[in-house]
Parts: sequence; structure tokens; C-alpha cells
Amino acid sequence: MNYNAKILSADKDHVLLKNVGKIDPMSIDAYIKAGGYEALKKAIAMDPKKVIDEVSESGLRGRGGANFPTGRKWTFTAGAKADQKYIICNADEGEPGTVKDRILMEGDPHQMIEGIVIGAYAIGATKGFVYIRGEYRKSIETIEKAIADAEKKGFLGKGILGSKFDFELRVVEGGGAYVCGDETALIESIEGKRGEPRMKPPFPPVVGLWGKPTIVNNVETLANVPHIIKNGAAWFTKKGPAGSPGTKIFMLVGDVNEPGVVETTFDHSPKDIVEKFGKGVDGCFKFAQIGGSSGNLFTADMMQSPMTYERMAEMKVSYGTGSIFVANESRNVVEFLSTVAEFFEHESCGKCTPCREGTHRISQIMEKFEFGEGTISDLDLLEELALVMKKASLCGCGQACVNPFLDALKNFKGEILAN
Amino acid sequence: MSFESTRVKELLQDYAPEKGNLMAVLHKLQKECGNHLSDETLKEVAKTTGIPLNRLYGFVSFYTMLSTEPKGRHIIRICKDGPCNFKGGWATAELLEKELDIEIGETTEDGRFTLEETACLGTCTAAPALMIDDEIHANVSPEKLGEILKKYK
Amino acid sequence: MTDKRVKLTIDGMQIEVPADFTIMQAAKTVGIEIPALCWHNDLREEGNCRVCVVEVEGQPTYQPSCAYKVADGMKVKVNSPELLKARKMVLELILSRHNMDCLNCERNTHCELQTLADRYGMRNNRFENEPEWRAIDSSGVVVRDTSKCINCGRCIRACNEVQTAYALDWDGRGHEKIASTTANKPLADTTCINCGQCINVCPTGALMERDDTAKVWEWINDPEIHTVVQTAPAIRASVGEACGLQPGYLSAGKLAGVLKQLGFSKVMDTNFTADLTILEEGTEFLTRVTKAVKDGDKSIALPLITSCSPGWIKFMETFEADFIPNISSCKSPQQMFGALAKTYYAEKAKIDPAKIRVISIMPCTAKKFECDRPEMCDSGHKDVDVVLTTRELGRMIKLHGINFDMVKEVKWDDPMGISTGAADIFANTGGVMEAALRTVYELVTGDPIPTMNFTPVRGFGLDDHGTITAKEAAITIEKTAKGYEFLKGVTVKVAVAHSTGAARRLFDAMRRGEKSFHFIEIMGCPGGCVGGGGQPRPTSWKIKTERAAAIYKEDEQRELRKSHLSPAVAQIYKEFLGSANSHKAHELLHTHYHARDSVR
Repeated sequence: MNYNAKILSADKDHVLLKNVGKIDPMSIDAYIKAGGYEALKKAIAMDPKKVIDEVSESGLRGRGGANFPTGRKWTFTAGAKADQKYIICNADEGEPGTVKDRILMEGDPHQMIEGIVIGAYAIGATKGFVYIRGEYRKSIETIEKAIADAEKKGFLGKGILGSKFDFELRVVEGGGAYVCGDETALIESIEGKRGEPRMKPPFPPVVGLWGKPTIVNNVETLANVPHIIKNGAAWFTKKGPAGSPGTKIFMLVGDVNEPGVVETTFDHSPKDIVEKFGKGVDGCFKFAQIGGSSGNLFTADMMQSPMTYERMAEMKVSYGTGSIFVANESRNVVEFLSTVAEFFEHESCGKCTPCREGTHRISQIMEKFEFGEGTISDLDLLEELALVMKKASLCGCGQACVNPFLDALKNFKGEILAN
Repeated sequence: MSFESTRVKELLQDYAPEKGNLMAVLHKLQKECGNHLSDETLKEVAKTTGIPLNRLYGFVSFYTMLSTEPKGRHIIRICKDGPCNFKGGWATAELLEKELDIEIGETTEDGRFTLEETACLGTCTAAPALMIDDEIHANVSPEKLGEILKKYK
Repeated sequence: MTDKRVKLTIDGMQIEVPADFTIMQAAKTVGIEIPALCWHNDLREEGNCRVCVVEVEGQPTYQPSCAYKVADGMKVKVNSPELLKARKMVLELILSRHNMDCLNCERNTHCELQTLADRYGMRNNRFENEPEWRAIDSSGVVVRDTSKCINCGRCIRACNEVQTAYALDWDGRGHEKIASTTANKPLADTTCINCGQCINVCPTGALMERDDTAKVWEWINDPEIHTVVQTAPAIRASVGEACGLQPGYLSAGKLAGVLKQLGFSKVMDTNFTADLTILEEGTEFLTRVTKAVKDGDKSIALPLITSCSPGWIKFMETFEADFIPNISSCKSPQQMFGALAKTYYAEKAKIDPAKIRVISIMPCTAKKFECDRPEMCDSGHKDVDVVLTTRELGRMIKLHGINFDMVKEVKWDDPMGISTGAADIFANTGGVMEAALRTVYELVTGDPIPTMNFTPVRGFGLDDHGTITAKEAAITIEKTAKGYEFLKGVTVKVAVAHSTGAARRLFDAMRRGEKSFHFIEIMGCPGGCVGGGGQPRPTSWKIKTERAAAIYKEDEQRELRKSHLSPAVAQIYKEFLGSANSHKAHELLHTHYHARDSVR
């Protein structure tokens, strides 16, 4: 099957990508034959609290970009008292450079679904949604079929696998809005409203969809869950370096000789991944943007650091979604930033002043530099604006979209001015 | 395509707020009716679902994939973000504009294609990418363009 | 409301406040006014302007103080140099998109954005000025100017959440987003009910009522024209406020005086026809009740629902049209006055009605729509020529440089200037109900109502979330007067709701069969007319309480507090109308309604 993405890492190292390209994603029998839904069987026989404990002990952290410890998030909702709880799988993958969720959905839909059901069981959610961005038509169709098949086999619906646990899962479509990747904007969208984020607090695990306790997890995060339950937390923690357990799907895009998708552990540096799997940089390395359009700009030095949470925190950066977007010496920083600026100007939801006006003004400033008319005071203004957006924006989108600009001002100011 | 109240009502039968499927229903309605949601259609949606008309318009105006303006039979959405940009996304866009004799945002005279920009399509490792209707095309080169467009009448 | 209290620090100051306070409320207790633009006392908070952001220790980003709740041990910075700089930048961004022609704006000198710009010492803008020149919509009573919109969303919350009229919403996304109407149509083509609540909450000049003062000045200055001005019950407790005095400044005498000073030919009082309305509507009510209860006529529509609020009437015609048979056929006091001014008064004063212009001063913007309704010409001419809001009157007084506090008190002119306390309280939610009960109770039982202040229908009825709930009361008839024996033992159920949102909830409950009543008072605006769309700005529940209290005080100081005791009302029946609900009364004082499309 063609996923419009080459898998560059070796089969033997795969956990999440194990079935992709190897089994028919439209066949639930193929998934079961490959060992699927064993974890669900095991989880249903456990106390829900023990399921959460297993995930907490594994050290799994969110794979959507925010990196929040999954088990801890589940605990909030499990402990909340309500007549209804929800689990939502965030499949609104919109961060440029990111393809992993689409591949997981189109290549191994049941892995994600199994993770969702286990999560629902653990937190006490009887209803769940998979919010898939509207452009991912193939993913929508694949997941819808997979859900129907899972229902027929008793992995979804009433009395799952003969237990007292009922769980209903539905697909909800997005409409072309990057901001709906923000968990509260996503919730608003499911509620039939404009996808404008809510203020936090209150947080979704306590007050979420239709005011009920809701867990929102990324596709890749949930895809890890069956493996953790099946093999145990200790198995997971042993993968990769201490403190940054598990595997991660990274994406090599841009000026690499072999763009594609890599599943590996966090002890790798971006440079490692580019060289080991991507056959090196196409040209001379200039910089890379890690984690999508709101990701940090990595210099050659930073590229050498393993992507552990520890190292990332020390450098005050994040690996974000895991996208590694390489730029060679022919790439113009101003043009690069202009593209990023235009993206955020188009995608800003418009709710809060700093982001609504700020993304527009950043775009204007970059345009000035594109035409060679930018000045040092423009850059000073850009920096001041970016810092205010970082602290005062209502949601993560406005707060994070200024990262590449602030990083560029640190390392590429001269080049921008010279444009 | 002309609006048919009965067809709209039919498609709306599946709608329920607790299913979160307003978007899905509007997508379906849009497809059946000149790739847009006319005032008549939205009024019918309002009457059937009880969602106030102003909220419907507010909803539609927020999402890029929903439109109240009529479009061509096929919508070409070309990605303009980083990775696609690096791999010649803009060149492909310019070529399309020339080939179809329209600018981005416009519809061909014969109503066959509407050309639009889109945000990242999640096909970055096989850039440049574009989407025509529901199908994503990857590794789009100027040479391949002609073949791709032929499929869409 | 909670009794629990917490201790926190704001800018180094240790304070103790109730545990459910926001940081903004907590700061107020020590005299710090955190700036706000999208926050409004009467609306759900949205935290989108980001002007109120503060730093809470432990939080990586700034938090909106309008919504962030206090906690024990919390450390907050409000006025650190970084925060002041950030707020200034936010203001700079808002102003960069704003129409800077303040000198030509109605809100010049009393604009919330100007106040903040002044407070933050804005002197220049590093961003290019790009106002949203998309629309000036003067299709209706409410005029929209998008170049002055700051995207705070207050109007959208007021229209959808408080009033549920569903005429306004956001259009577009990101920088393209503006506060707009359904399908970006002219407001007059939407389900807008003209209540003006959006105007009341707008912080700038983006929303305003249509200014009709030019016409009025023309007429005042025209020696051929005889201008008759009538004033709503609410005006005597709000015109002072419109002139810069404190909310609740009460002076009927000064109101009449200033109108004389401005040059109106005759200064009379809508209160007069408010009393008349009670007689007409009270009679209508008793007629229906008699037919329904005594005669067992099942076709009679009960409850009877009041009809003096034009915002409510348009709302009802649009969204609750199945209740049209229940609405009282009585016109509003304003419209009754106009019809009588050009017939009864014209005859008495021997003035050609074609030369009379009736101007009403109202706390209401919907009244502008009401006087333009094509059926409102039973006098043979347009019954009420123009309606001015409290704010417009305030502008007229300001133009003449009159110090309202110093105006000499005068009496209203005859024959339509005398009224009772029952008319005064029309200004408050529950007032029409109370006034009606004072008369109807006496007619039915033969005894005066035991308490003149019928408190079960008073007050705003806000629940813990600030949502308006309807008030309900029940009166069991024990003693009956001659002719009303059939009502003995009957429990008469009444309800009072204000804001069309509360009205909608009440009617939904009635349709679901959960509630039923004999008589309902609906006021379209939150708080009743004291909270009308034409009232002075800013507004808040606190300010509305002051205005309402002044009205109740006015009623209490009156000698006559029951409509049926008004000598002027007795006179007009004797000389002109005959009796309540007479043929002539029906011709001039009653009207009809028609359903309007609810989806447009």
C-alpha cells in the first residue's frame, strides 16, 4: 500500500510501524492475526486503576507536541466524578512536516483504536471520538471501516469482550483548521462551533466536551498504549535512554537525500537520524526546524544533541511532533520565515488580540524583508511582538508560533538584515 | 446544481448534535451542490436542525473547507507550506495557474476547476503535494501534472 | 456565592477575598482597576482581548485576570514593568486596526478604548493603521461601523447568550475575522429585534443607535410645527445619568423642565398612557378570564402576555409566533400616546394634527422600529413621529450646555401629563405586572391589594451563573366582588421575565407543559426598561439596580399609586373613549401582530 511516505527505519526496531505496509489495514483479521487486541483483552481483565498505573509507570509522554505525561492526565479524569466522560483521539495532524498520524491511521488503524478503547476503559469513558482533519479523507474512510469491523467483533459497543464495559467510538471530521489541533478548539469543533480555543483553567480532563471530563490524546500516543499493556511498563521504560522511554516516529523532510519516516528511540540526535536514515543532508546543512512550523530552529550544534526530554529542556527547545525539516545552504532564512509567517496568519483562529493581530504583523514585517526593505527597528519590533505573543496569547498556537522567529533572531539576525 | 429541499432533509437525517457530525453533514451537502453551501441550503439546515442561521454562517466562515461561494466541479488545493515549498510547490502552483488560465482563488470559465491554497496536507516526505477533491497526490512534478488533471472532468 | 475566603498577594499586597473571586475582582478590593475590554460585568467572560493579563507565580504564560480564580497562597503581579509593556503592545495592536477619527465619533470622550489608550499613555503606533473599512450598516435602528470594532465579542455574547435573537456572529477566521451579522446581511434583514443590547455593551463607537435628533431640532425650530414630547417612565431616573450625574439620579420635574428649555411646545408624559394601558389591558385580561373560567370557552387564549415592549414583540413575532393569540392587543403606552395626541389632544387644543409632531424619549431602541411600523397610524397620521433614546436626549442637553442639576423643576403639561405611581414602575421588570395587579386585584376582590410593593415579582432573578430566570407568583382569590364570584378559590398564576433569552426559556418550558400561567409580563431588555438599549453607557447590574431603586422611590412618594385612580385617565374615558375596550378604544389603542420568518 502506498502511504506517500517511505519508511526508512528497520523492521526489527519497529513497534508502532510494525504492521504498516505488512498487513492489510482494512482487515481486522490481519490485525488480530498479528497479535492485535490481545492488550485489550488483558486490560479489560485488570482494574482500570491498574491500567493507568501501567501507563504512568511506563513514562509515556504525549506525542502530539506538548509532551504531557499520559498516565498523569488519565488520572485527573479517572478521579473526576461525572455521569459521562469522554476520550478523544486528536487526529487533526496539521503541523507542517508531520505525517506520522496519517500513516498510523491509514497503515494500522486498529492499533490506534485498541489504544483508545484501553484508554476509555482506564478513565471510565463510555463514549469516544476520533477527530480527523477534513483533508485526510482516506484516513476517515479507513478508521470508519475499522470501527465498524471492531464493533462486529465485540471490541467496541456494549459489553466489550463480555465485560460490563460499554464504549462507543465515532469519527468526527475537521474542516481545514490547524488550530483545531489544540485540544479545546477541537472540543469546540465537535460541539458544532467555530474551532476557537477555550481558556484553561478549567482543563479538559475536568471540564471538557459538553462540560464533561475529557481526555484528548494524540494518535501516536494512543498507538503506544496496547504495546505498553501487552508487554508491561518495564518493557517500555527499557526502550531508549532513561527518562525518555519508548520509540518515536520522526519525519525527515526538506533537504535530506532520502525523505521519509523513521521510528527510533530518543537517544538519537537529529543529526544521527538524518545521516543514519536519511542518507545525509542534500547539500550543506544550514539549519533545521524541528517539530513543525511552530518548532525551534536548530543550529548545527543543536542537531548533535540527543532528543531526550532532559536535553531538550536544557536547551529550552522541544522535539515537538518529531518532524525534522532540514534546510541547506541555498535556503534563504527570510523566505523560510515568510512561509512560516503566512501559514500562521492563515491559521490563526482570530480569537485573541496578540495572535490575531500579531501573526498578521509578523507576516507584514517578513514581507518587508523579502523586498529588502526591512530595518533593524523592524526586527526589534518583531522581537517585542513575539515575546508578548509568547506570554499573552490565549492558547498554545499563538504562544508557540513565534518560536522560529525568536530562534532566527538569535542565530540569523545578520542574514535577515542583509536581505 | 440546483438545491433540492428533500435531498437536504435526507442528508440531514443522520445529523445529531451528540454525534458531533455537523461538519460531516455540511461536507456532504456541499459536495452535492456546486461544492458550496447556498443560503437556501443553510436555511434548510437551520430549519431542520434548530441551529440558528447566524451560528451556521459563523461556523461555515471559520473552516477553510466549507464555502458559501460556488466553486468549480473539482477543487485543486495546493500546499504552500515549508516542505512542499522546498520541493517546488510554488512552481507547480504557478504552472497550474498558467495551465488553467486562472489565479489562485479563482474558478476556470468552464467551471471545471477551482484553484486554492491549502495548509500542510501531511504528505511532507513525498513533497510537493496537492489535493484534488478528496484525493491527495504526492511527488507532484510539472511532468505529472497533465496526467493528474486529465482524471478530473 | 461562597463563605470560604482565601489569602493571596497582589503586587506584594496581602489580601483576603471570597474563594470564588477572580483576580480582577480581588484587585478591585484594594483599589486596583485592571484594564479590560472584552470582559463585561453582565456577560460570560471570554478572555480574548488579553488586556487584563496578569502574572501568576508558577504559570508559564500570562493569565486573564477577568476569568482566573484566586487560590490560597497565590502570588500575582499586576503592574510589573513586563506586564505594562505587554498590555501596551496589546493596545497598540488593537489601535493599529482601529478607526482613529475620534473627533468625529459619537463616543468621543466617553469611549472605553479611549480611556485605556489614555491610561496607558499611547502616543504613537509602530504598526500601520489598517481599520476594517468593511461596512457601515445603517439599514436599521442599530448602526454598525466595522472600522471601530475591536473584536471583543461582547455584542455577539449579548445577542446570542442573553437575548437569543441570533442576529450577530463572527465572520471569517484570523485577521479576516470581524463581528458581523447573519450571512453578513444588513442588520435590518436579519432576526435582529432592535433591542440595542449590543449597543449597550459595545466598548467603542462600533455600535450605535440611529441618531434622529436632527429631525427633532428642525421641528423645534419650525414655528409652524407643534412639538409634543412624551417621556417614558424610565427616563426620569436615567436622564440625569445621561448628563453625567450618578446612576439613580431622580428628577421628573427637572426632566420636564429641561424639555421645556430645549423648546418643545408641549411636554407630556408617557406615564399617562401607561396608566391607561393598565385599564385597557386589565379589562382585556378580565374579559378573557371570564370567558375562559366562567363561560368555559376553550378557545380563549390564556395566559395573557403583555405587549408594551417592542423588542419583545418583534422577538415573539419571529420566534414565538404560536403565542400571537396570547399577546395583549393593547398598544404600548408610547403608541397609545401618539394616537391620542393627534386625536384627543389635537381636538382639545384645536391644533391641526398634521402640524403636530410627537416625539418620545425612550430608554429603548426598539421603539424607533415600533413607531415606524406601518400599522401605527390609527390617528390618520403617523402616530409617533420620532423616538429619541435617553442617550440622544443627553446629547441634546449637552449641546445646549445645560447643567441638568440646576434645571428648575416644572410640572408636566395637561391633558396627558398626570399619572400615578403604578405608571412609574413600568420602568422596572415586574413593574407592569405589579401595576396591573394593583388594579385588577381591587376590581376582582373589591378590596385594595394588601401590599402595594408586590415583591415576588421584583428583582432581577439572577442565578449563580448570572443567568436571568423568570419570577413566578400565585394569588388565590378568597373574597370576590360582584360579578367575579366565579373566581372564588381560583389560584391566579403570574410570571415575569426580562430579557428575551429568559422569555424564550419560559416559553419553551410552557410548550413542554412544565408551566402554565394566567398572566405574563415580558420585558425585552435585561432588567426591564431601566436596562433598555437606549440607556446611558456603561451599564451593569449594579447601575440598573440604582436606576430601579430610584423608580421604586418615585412610586413610593406618590399620592396616587393605582392606575384606576388617575383623574386624567378618568377624564379621557369620560370625554373621549367612553369605556375601556370600547369601540373607539379599540380603534386607537389596540393593534395586531404578524409572524415573521425565524430563519433569515
